[in-house]
Amino acid sequence: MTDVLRTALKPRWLALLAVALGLATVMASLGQWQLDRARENSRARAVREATARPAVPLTSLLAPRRPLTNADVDRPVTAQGRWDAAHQVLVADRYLDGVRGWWVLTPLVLDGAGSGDAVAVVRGWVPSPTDAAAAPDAVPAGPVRVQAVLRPPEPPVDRAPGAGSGLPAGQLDGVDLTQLVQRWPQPLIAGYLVLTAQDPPASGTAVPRPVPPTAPSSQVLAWQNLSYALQWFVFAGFMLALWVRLVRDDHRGRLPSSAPAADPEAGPEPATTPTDRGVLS
Amino acid sequence: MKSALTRYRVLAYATGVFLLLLTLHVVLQLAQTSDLAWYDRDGIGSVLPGGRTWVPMVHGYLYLAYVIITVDLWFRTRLVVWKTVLVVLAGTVPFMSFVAERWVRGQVEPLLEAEPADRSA
Repeated sequence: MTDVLRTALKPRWLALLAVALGLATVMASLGQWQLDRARENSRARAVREATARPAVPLTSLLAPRRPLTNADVDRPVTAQGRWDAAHQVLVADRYLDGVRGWWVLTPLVLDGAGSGDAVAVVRGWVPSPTDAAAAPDAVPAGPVRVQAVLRPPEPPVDRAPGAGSGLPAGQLDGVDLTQLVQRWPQPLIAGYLVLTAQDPPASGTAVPRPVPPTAPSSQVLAWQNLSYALQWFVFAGFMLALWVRLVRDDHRGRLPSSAPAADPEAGPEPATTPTDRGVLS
Repeated sequence: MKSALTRYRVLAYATGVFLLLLTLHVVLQLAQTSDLAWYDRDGIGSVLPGGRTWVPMVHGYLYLAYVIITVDLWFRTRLVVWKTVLVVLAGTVPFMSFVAERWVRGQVEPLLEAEPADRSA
């Protein structure tokens, strides 16, 4: 063992160890970088890309009883109409920056194309159902143009027939269109919007905090980065394994001082020295 | 040594082919017009279903295997070190792994003839 150590401490092996460790460090950090990318990719990038598309009028994509297609999920849209403050509801158990609160969900009754239809819009988040920004009289009156991100409706909460959500009146446990169509008189568009901007802008202090439009993760991209990360880690490990193997060979006296095999005169090494033992053997 | 050479040759071709597919993928991505950033476009995925994901992934694993198999071959043959490093790097340059494969074959086949016939692997 000490002999192996003495071999390993030869200057050339120490130098090679430094090189191998350096390369392994670079490779491991590249692997870490790919892991970070995998993590970031699956969420933030999907959102960024989906929301980077140019906004289109909502009514060009959807109408009541027309289903939302996957391609339109997270698409930025514009819509114009008036807020129907009297029918505003709160969606319970919504978190913003880790704080439990409520979404303020207000019907926007459309003008122009699709006039009279309504779409559910998350205007923002409030920390308490009694927050001033959650009050119906805090809803801006008059015509409004909104910019928003289109989201698919949330699935209905599974519960026994006739059982209520147990929430106070005016609160829902999801952006569930099957509940909204019973509360709101207008024909509803099959999806909801997360407000990003409105014109005229909301003024005053009683404005719910904006909710970041979230998107489901794109597993495919994440897998690709995880794959690259794994490959970098294997390369890093391989560098060190290679060094160990070289030292071991030198210790057993098998490593030629130079590389003679390419020298046609030298030919292969004598069969007594087992050169034909690769890393796999 | 013979099967190590065969393993190397199979991987040199496989890596070379997938590197060409990957190159084609990037060229297609750059040529395509889309709202997305070029590296997020479908690329070869428009020709091979899902290719946008599996072509880069398979190439990654193949190259990993290529490096390991090349080093394994070096342990058995002790080819010139710096040229072996070039062989490893050739796996990252389009078409070069085919050139490297020819060089390796030219180097290793004479060794095989000089080698006693009964040695395995």
